[in-house]
Amino acid sequence: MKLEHRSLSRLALPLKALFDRFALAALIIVSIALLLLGKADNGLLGAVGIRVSDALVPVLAAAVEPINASRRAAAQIGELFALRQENARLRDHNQRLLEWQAKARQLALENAALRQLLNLEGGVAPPTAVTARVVADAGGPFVHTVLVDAGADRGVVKGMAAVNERGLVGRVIEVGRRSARVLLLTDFNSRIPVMVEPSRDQAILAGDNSREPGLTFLPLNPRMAVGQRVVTSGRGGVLPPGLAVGRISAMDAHKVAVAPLADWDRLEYVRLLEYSRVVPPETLARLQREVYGPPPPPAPAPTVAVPPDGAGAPIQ
Amino acid sequence: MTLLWLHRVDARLRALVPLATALLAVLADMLPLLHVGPASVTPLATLCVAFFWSLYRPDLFGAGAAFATGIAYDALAGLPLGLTSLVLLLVRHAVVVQQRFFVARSFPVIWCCFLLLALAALALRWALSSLWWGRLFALQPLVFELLLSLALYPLATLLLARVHSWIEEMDDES
Repeated sequence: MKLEHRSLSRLALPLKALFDRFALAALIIVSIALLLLGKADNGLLGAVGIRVSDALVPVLAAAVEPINASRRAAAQIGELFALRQENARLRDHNQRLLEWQAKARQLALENAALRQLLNLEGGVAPPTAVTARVVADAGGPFVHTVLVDAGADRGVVKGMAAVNERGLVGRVIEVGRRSARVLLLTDFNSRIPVMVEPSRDQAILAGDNSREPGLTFLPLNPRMAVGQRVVTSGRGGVLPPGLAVGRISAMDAHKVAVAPLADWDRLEYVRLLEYSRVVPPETLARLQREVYGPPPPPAPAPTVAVPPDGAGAPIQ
Repeated sequence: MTLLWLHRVDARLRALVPLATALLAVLADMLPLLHVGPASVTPLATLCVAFFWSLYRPDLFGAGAAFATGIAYDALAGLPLGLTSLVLLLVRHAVVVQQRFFVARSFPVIWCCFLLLALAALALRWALSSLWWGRLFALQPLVFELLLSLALYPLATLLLARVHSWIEEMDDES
């Protein structure tokens, strides 16, 4: 029996080694193939990635909560020592906010009166929002994205703006069933249409993987200065206008740097805002299908039939 | 018969422990637990765990396990799928090929080897990422990542050595 076992293992070991070597080569080839396929960007691999995230999000959500709680506790202990100064600062802040509140009320009344005078339609409807917890942030030098624990099941769609209590954080680029990926402002792929207050100069906020993204596509003779506020402009119709983004922190010949208001080290929750003035092509196609039914098969010969909305009618 | 079957299930489950710890390391890398510094530089716990198991139990941490760990990392970190799996497969292969060298070496020597291999792995990851996105990424965060991973390795070893001895004990019993 022992002998038999030995002879079996004598046979099995080289076989296993051969299999291991084969598996290594095969998996290296699969990895390279995945990289190349991902580069081709056919959307399939993105779906695979977000499926894996979907599966692991509950575990991450369970793990991230105690960590966040302990970080909060540590921060609170630190705050205890600075309680007196903090109190004075807040009192001062409160005073200034009350002044602003009075001013805002006055302006709101004035605005409403002027709107009535001009017979203008009411303002933009407040965007619907989904609150989500940040569950994964790999950090690192390559991509600046975070994974949140809300997905299509809670109404998250691609392109939503992600904000926290301070301002814009990024936007949703991938949506799974239970999770979604948010591209942060600082990622080198991030481009956000913004304007500088008070000059209302338009620009694009382009991330460059540093902590402070830069403004590009500035107008000629831009009127901006260090310390001025940067808000979303709403151009392109994807992000709502007027969301606070940051302040201009430095200006030189090469870069107008913007310090985002978001605190990247304490990104626990984000609100995902839905706002789309412009209907994305895929939604348009779906709506058209719902209204007109499935598209007819292509006709062999040109016909003179006019579609119901008259879009195909020749221009006189 | 039932006992034998249970033994088999037990052995199978034990064989999955290295993969499970590697996946736990992936999750730990995603948590805001170890983020240090302004550029959110993190040590790579995944790399430490992959190195450890490739060194001590390459039979239980096979190429498939390295691949699965890498794919899970890429999916959660939002990196191109296949990037980390390729790096981990090569790390595992490098350790397995040099197995004889590592036998009965002291911890400082192994730590130095980890330094060299981590340097190579991070450089490869940097090169692949730069190629994939067609832009040169900053090298500075890599140095920090390397140093932090190096600091994490003894701690990871301490924890994993316990898991390892537990697996060995169970192996001896059965």
